[in-house]
Amino acid sequence: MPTSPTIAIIGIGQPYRGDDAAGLAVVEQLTDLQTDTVRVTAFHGDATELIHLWEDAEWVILIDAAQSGVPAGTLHHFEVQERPLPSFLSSWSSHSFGLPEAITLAKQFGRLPKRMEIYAIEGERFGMGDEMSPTVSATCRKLAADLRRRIQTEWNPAG
Amino acid sequence: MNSSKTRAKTAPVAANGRRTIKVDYLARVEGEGSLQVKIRNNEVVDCKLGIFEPPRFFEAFLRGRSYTEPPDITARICGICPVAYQMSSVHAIESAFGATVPEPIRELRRLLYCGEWIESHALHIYMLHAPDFLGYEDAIRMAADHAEAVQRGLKLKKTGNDLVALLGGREIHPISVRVGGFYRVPTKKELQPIAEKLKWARDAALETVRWTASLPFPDFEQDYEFVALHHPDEYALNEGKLISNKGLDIRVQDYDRYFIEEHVAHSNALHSRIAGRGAYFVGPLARFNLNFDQLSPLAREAAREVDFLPQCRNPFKSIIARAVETLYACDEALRIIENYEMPEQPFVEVHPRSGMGYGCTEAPRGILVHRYRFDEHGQILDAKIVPPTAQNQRVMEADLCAVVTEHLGLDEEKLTWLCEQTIRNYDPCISCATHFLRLEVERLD
Repeated sequence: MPTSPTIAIIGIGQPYRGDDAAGLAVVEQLTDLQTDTVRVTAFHGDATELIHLWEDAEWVILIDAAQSGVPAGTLHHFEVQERPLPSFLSSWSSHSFGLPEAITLAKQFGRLPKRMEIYAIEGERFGMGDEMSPTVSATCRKLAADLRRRIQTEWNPAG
Repeated sequence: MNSSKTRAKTAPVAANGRRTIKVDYLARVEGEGSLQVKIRNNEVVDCKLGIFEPPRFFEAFLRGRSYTEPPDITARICGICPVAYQMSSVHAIESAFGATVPEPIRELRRLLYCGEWIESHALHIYMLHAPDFLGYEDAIRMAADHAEAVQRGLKLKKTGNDLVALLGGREIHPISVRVGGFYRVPTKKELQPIAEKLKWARDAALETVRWTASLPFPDFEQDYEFVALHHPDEYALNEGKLISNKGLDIRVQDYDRYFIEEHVAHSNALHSRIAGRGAYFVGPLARFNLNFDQLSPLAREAAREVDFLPQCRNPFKSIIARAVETLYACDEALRIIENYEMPEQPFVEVHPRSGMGYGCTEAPRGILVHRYRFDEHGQILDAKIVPPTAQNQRVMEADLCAVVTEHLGLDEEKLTWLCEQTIRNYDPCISCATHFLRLEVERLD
């Protein structure tokens, strides 16, 4: 267990399904930020693992793809502690366990970090083998740059 | 991530004397399929487990490929049990080429398999099946009242995943397995941190045995033919002969002489049967019944403590068998790590030759058979893969008929619940068998 407070930046996605890889594409641009107190993770595994990825973190930023019907490339952002999860964050696994369920369980277990934010990038192509849409790629680049700036200015583990 | 899957239920409908219950999507199974039960004049007239996911053509993809490729290609059949596909494929290939691997490699394969058993069993016990027994729609709702149990399950599962990731490079579709051994093997020191986690997991698994045994079980028994791999000196994972409680005792290479696969109209997965006899039952309960003596003393003692002994013929108690096997897998993994000496070479050279090879290993859900035929350069001429869920299809349908027959008096909602629970006794991996389970009970009164 780290002794210093930690920020966990977790990109979620499926690398072979076009815009679903948006979360992965964002964290790929942030790997150089890794330190003892900044953890950057690309996650495309089983959602039951997610709770363990953030359990010792003080601040968690999750980046995922979304499909809510608004134009591709639109960036959704919300703080988990502030309002209920939107319905477009659906489960993806065949046994119906995804990000919303992981967050719900963490709440029930009292294992939510002090601060948890979700960025969800609206996609339009989710087919197996699809390329990522240019508009989604552009949003990924902009979000990565914004997050870099935020972490450099807002994250102060000593403070 | 996104999914087009939604859960939808329709209420019973009365129309023209027929009553129908329809669940468009049965959650808590791996993959997609459908279930149909027809009842006429209080008699079950038809039970079908339909697998309508299109065939996946893996056997055809393999034709013309090199002998080096099946471990990686077939692992992609399943995200839950990729190690099983890797193990059955390497054993089949090595058998065809007359290769054997040294003991340390053999032990590492067992260790990798233990990781997969732990993660797969913990997922099924806590997240997929236990809610049925305790009356919750899913594990999330169950967690509101059983937080400690669900947290234990998730941490157990993570321990299994960590073990697979350590040996395999990553927890899903590991990449270290190759014909003849591994691309890389761990040092003794690298295994030590996981040993500490496994000690916790062993205690948690023991608690899991007690917890599962305390669940309420329907009073239901059938006269099954249980089939499993058997090894005289160890609880069979990778090697052994195929035995049953009804006299089957054959070499793996004789599989095709005794087992028949056939197509049925309502399923895209082939149904298996034993020639001249019929349905058979594979998986944790079969292994427990046939190989109890080969379990570790701790696992045997835990089973005795909760009065769970062979020959158990109640399929609902498969959840206890899974818990005992989870305990065994933790115990066995610790034994292997304690005795581990890093092999000098991570793999042995394998020399291809013309011929046929069979591999059969115990996937978490039961025996997984691979057969390959090669030309002299080791190019695959044909491949056959028989996953455990395909083998259990007949017995699942038979159970469904019997369960519905015994509980015709239940209202539609309770009967539907019991049918889903019955299917989940087998932890079906419909994705493996060819994906979605839709349940339909039709009363043709």
